[in-house]
Amino acid sequence: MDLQPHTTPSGFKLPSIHSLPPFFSKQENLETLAISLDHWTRLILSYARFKRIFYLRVEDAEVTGGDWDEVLRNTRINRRVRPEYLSFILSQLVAKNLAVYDPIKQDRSVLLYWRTPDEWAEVLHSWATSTGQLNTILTFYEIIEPAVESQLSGIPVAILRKAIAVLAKTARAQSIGVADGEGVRFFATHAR
Amino acid sequence: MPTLDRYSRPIDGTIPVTALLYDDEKLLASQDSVGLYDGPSKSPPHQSGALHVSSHRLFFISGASSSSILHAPDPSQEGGASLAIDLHHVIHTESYAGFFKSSPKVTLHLRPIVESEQRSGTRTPAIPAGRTDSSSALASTSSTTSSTPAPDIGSPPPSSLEDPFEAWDCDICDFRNPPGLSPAARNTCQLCGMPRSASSSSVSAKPVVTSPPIAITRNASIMNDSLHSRSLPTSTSHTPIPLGISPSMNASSSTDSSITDGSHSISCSICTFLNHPSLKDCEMCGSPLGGPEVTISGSSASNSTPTAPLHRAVVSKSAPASRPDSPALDENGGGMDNTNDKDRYIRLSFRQGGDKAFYAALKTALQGKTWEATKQSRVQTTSPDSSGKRVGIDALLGSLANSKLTTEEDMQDAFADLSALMTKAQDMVRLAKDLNEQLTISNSRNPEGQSIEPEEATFVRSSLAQLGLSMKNAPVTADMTRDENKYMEQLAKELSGMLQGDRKQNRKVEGIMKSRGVIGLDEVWGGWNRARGVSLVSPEQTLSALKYLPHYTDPPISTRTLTSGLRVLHTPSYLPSAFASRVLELIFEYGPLSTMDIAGKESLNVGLIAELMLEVEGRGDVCRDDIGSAVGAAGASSVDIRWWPNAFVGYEWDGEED
Repeated sequence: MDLQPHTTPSGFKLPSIHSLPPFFSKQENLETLAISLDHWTRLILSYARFKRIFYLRVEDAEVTGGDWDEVLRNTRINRRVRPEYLSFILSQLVAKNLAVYDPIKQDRSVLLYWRTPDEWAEVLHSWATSTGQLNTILTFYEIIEPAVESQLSGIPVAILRKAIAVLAKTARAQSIGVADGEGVRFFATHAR
Repeated sequence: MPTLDRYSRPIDGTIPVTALLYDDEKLLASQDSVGLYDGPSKSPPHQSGALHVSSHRLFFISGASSSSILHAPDPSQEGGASLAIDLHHVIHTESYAGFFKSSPKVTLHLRPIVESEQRSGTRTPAIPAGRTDSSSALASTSSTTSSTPAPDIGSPPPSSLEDPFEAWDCDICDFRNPPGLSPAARNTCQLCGMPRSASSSSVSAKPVVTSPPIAITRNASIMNDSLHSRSLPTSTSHTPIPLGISPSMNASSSTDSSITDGSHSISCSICTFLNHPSLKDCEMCGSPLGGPEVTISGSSASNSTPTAPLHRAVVSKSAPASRPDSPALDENGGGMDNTNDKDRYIRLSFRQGGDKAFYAALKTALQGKTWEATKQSRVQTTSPDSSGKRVGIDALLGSLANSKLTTEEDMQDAFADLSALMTKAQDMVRLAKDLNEQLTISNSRNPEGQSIEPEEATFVRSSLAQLGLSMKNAPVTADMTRDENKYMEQLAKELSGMLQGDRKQNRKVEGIMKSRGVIGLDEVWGGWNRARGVSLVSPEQTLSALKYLPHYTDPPISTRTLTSGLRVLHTPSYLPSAFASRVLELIFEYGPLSTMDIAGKESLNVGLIAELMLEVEGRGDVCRDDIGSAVGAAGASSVDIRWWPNAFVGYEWDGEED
């Protein structure tokens, strides 16, 4: 039973445990389950980071053709994650603060924190600094869909707000209401 | 016309036939232009009319008035030629197709009339006639014009049970049964199905029936009183009666001597009122009437009073009180059926054809025997055991009683069996013990070690074993040992013998754990008690004895409680660690295994292996692969599980690096 890591056509290197059938079943032994869940968490977050996916839904285990097929299914060993198990994994992700239910008050869809809001705040501030946009008012649209591709392209507004809130605490950003939505102004780190 | 008269009863021919039917009677066929033959000869009044057959009766409705003028000029016969014959009199029928001028005919052979039948049914036409006569005689002394009896069709027969046009209230449910049913159906309540009791109160007809005779009797007695005073000196037949005596007494004394014809009136033994013969209770005082010995023969009485001419005149007027029968009956000798068998038939002559269809309908009616069916159902309702046609409350009560009876019988049977077994069980145990000992003794006497009749001995032993009585010694019971601990030890010893077999005896007694390393405690307890026969071991005692079991078993058998709470006895090879390592060896040898596979390899039942595997999984030695997670599978999880070695433990991440 020497399992080898498998590299997907998109270039993602799946761990060898992904080829072990019991990995797709919810283990009854709590210790084994904890190990299994750790590996799932790591796998999901690294894949999400790799593919820049922000959302994971229970539907992804039910319907084929989504972004997550490579991870939630392994046709080479004829196994898939059952929706019940994925739902359980999602709840564990939320419990570990690696994801939040988005929208809130449901448990079938999560927003993945493959970067924490703190990390996103740093990325946001460094981006603003590097592109010379400090002290100017930026709309959310300008951040999410910048003319030049950046790490922040396509970032969900929910994460963006959280990141701005983090920056606002340290007085590095200021949230501003503008005519056609929300806006933000970044300050230099030592602006205080 | 003896036959026709005795079997038929007159009906009112002027009303349509459908109005004459009982409520449960059906008109089947009709035919015009029919003549009747009374026996071999034509019956003059019945030569042209319509014939109707219903499910119960045959009606002849006298047709054109011309025939009655031609053949029956008697004014009393106007419309009276119409008649009805009950079909239950008919024994069999014959059909004659006709020949040239001879019309097709149907012959009805009638059965002889039984006396009781005659009383209740066929003689009824005569009674209203008599009463009409009496009332007319009372109304005017010059009643010569109406001397011939005119049949009073509308008035019912006096017996309340026989009156078809009478409503009655059921004793049981108070349902008022409507009039108009056929005689048989009339005797059960339509609502609750209870048979009509004799005391059921009839509603409409009774006053009509009872009041005229009372009036008659009183009037007659008063007349008699006045006459007695004059006729007393000459009268020889009866004692003088003082004036001022009660009217009923007077009536009886007068009628005693005044009966002149051949009536069968029954004199009441209490009040001496002369009752109609069909009555069972006295009309006046209600006391039951006796047998025929009180019947007064009128002819002798009339002979005994020749010397009282005045009295005789009175008699002719007071005679109605005793209700003389019609002359027609007198011809027949007071109702005795002396007609010849061959004369006892009626012919229907179909003057204008239609006989085929009518004959077919008649046959249907006769075969249907509707009157009999209703009679039978009545009989059934009165017998308690029948489950036949019962309706309403009666049926409910009946079925309740039946089921209660059956249950009681079953219970008694069961208890009888049980008590018999209890008394015999001890004897059986003793017998088995004796047999066993005898066999052992005979074995020991033969130094070869073989009994004389090996087959027989084997047979006896095996039958004992089948009864669970093959233990060498009688089962250990509490009264054999004083000490509780000793008792438990003895029990444990006995149990070990059962589990692992008795090795010292060198017999081929195999314990139930011979080939199995694990056994459920339920099975142990059940099997042990079966082996012990009647002296059972309680679960508590079994559990206490288990503590001592490892000391008496080799290899030691220990107790374990599995995750589901099931307690098992197992040998050391089924200790969790030993079993887990064995399972892992199997998996490494054969690849991932399902519970079924492991059960097959271990020769244990699947339920037990499933429990044990849960234990192994709990130890973290294996992990599960749910086949329900297959890409194509839609089924529920946990149905089919394959066990893998636990590859999670010690796994190092070898996927995409952060």
